[in-house]
Amino acid sequence: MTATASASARVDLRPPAPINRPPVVTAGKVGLYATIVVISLWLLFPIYVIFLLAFNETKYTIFAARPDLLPTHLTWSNLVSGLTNTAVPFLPSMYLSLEIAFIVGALALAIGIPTAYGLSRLPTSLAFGLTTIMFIVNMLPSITIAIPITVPFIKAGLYGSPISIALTQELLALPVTVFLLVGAFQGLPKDLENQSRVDGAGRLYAVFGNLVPLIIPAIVASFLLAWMLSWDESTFALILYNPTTPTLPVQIFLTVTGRGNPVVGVAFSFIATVPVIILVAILQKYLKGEDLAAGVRG
Amino acid sequence: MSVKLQFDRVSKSYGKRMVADDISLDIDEGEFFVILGPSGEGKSTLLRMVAGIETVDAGTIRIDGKDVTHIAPNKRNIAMVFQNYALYPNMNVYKNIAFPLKMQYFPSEEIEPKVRAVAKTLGITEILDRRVSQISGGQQQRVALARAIVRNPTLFLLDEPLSNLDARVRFAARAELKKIQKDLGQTFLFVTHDQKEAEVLSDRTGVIHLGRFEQVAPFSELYDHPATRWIGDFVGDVPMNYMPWTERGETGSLGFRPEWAEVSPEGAEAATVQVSERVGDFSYLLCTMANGFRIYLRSLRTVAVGTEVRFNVTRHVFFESPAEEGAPTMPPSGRPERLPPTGPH
Repeated sequence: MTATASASARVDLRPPAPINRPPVVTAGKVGLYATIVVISLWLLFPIYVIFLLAFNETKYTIFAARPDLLPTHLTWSNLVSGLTNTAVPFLPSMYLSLEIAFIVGALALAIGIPTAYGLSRLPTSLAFGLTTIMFIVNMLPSITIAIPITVPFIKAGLYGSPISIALTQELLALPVTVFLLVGAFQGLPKDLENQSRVDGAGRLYAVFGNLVPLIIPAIVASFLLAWMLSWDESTFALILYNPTTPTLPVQIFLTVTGRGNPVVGVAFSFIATVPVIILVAILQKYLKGEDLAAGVRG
Repeated sequence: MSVKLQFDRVSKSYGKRMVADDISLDIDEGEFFVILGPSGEGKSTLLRMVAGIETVDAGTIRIDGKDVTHIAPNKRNIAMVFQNYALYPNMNVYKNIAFPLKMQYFPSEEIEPKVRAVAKTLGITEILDRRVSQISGGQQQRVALARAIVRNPTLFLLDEPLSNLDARVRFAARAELKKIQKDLGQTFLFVTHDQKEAEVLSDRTGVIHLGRFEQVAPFSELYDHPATRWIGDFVGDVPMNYMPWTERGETGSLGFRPEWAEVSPEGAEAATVQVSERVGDFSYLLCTMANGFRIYLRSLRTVAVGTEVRFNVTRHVFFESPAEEGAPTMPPSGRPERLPPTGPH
């Protein structure tokens, strides 16, 4: 035995070290950045148009035969007239939309986190099947769901209340949240939870004290998605709205179409983007994973 | 000496595969017990059943005589070190070690001296403020060990804790682990596929194969008196040699290790060298005997391929199963092979 004492020491189970190459500027890299620039411009263009409509005089934009693509006649008057127009209440709609969006986001996490944890502990094929079933509502046109559920909502006395709109929008938001969070939970090493349990934590503590902090980026991302889905949603909100104060997207829709004041609609469209930008800016730092994945070897 | 951990007719299967087949075993208080076996033989599952993170199909597991078979992991007061260390990535080293104490509702002024004491013992005081992603593999292993030791459990479960370490670090960590166990005087249940670890660390080793313990004994006895031919092949760097043999009227096989045969010109048996490999002080010779049996011999001198060597078997063990022509049998997986696979593998 002594002659072969180092037998076991020869097997190195670690993965091979990564190869470090010096940075080189290649045609491929130039192409990559060019593509990024093109796609970014493509995605930013609608925002630019909204900006143009909001701050350019309307006779050069919506009322022009050939709208100007450059901000040649900047003005505050669109915003001022939109916000001071008493016929179309802007602030109540904004508050309502904010309220509903936060309810949808919070509910998505409150239901989504435990659901996703449970699904992540099932066999993968079963979890995938159940998640797919959850998406059925998303696969159907919203209008086909919205009309039949209106009746029970009226009976339940929920019609026209913020919670009714939030609950229906949750149907769309929850599957996305669960789908994202199942992936996040599955990405965590199972032994972290086991370790926590052996170290004396109950199951609830193991999940919420040890696992949930590790998937904060996914949780923030799914909250943002649910929030924005609600902020943007107009079908359920249109069917179930209270005529005195509709949600912001419905208000914009009604203003631009039925009530016929495009200037106000334009101003609201622009303002509707502001809360999204603020929210993303606040939550952005939590979207980074940093080095949370480390700490487990092999 | 009292029994610390008892498996009483424990069974567990995954579908049709039995990973524990009616296992009964007593592990004594203060014992360093190693479960040894090739990969995929259910060693870790046994450990996880003791920890309570794997269910038991049938049978009873007792700790200190108390049935814990269906008790939640957090109620068992055991410590476990996982193969990947499972350090909490969102906590620094200090908080990782303090975690089990926090779970037991120790006040923080009691936690700090305990954490510092165990950190000092393991030489990780300097890294207490670091993130676990910023420390080396050897340090991570120490942190995992510190976290296990800190709340003073009486049963430690260790699942291949050395296998993720570099060879040099592993050598030192192995020696240190043995010392720590002796100092603590607590029961360690240690799972490995590395027989060198079993040899160095264990008071007793249980070799697991097909869901059963083939043999439970001090490691030297596994080596010197293997209960079955499978053990003879699995334990040792080179598989055992077998020849047909009749002993006290029973026909079976004779097993001997290369060093139990003395190569000398006056030897009674003869064999022709097929392959010769120098390992350290010895040459290992894969030889063919006239009757077609293949055997490994060991010689201090280098012997040329094709030469006939003579030898005497000075020591042997007897197995009831007959020897087949072409032995040595295939070396079991999970063990580094020393000789080129020129045999009838």
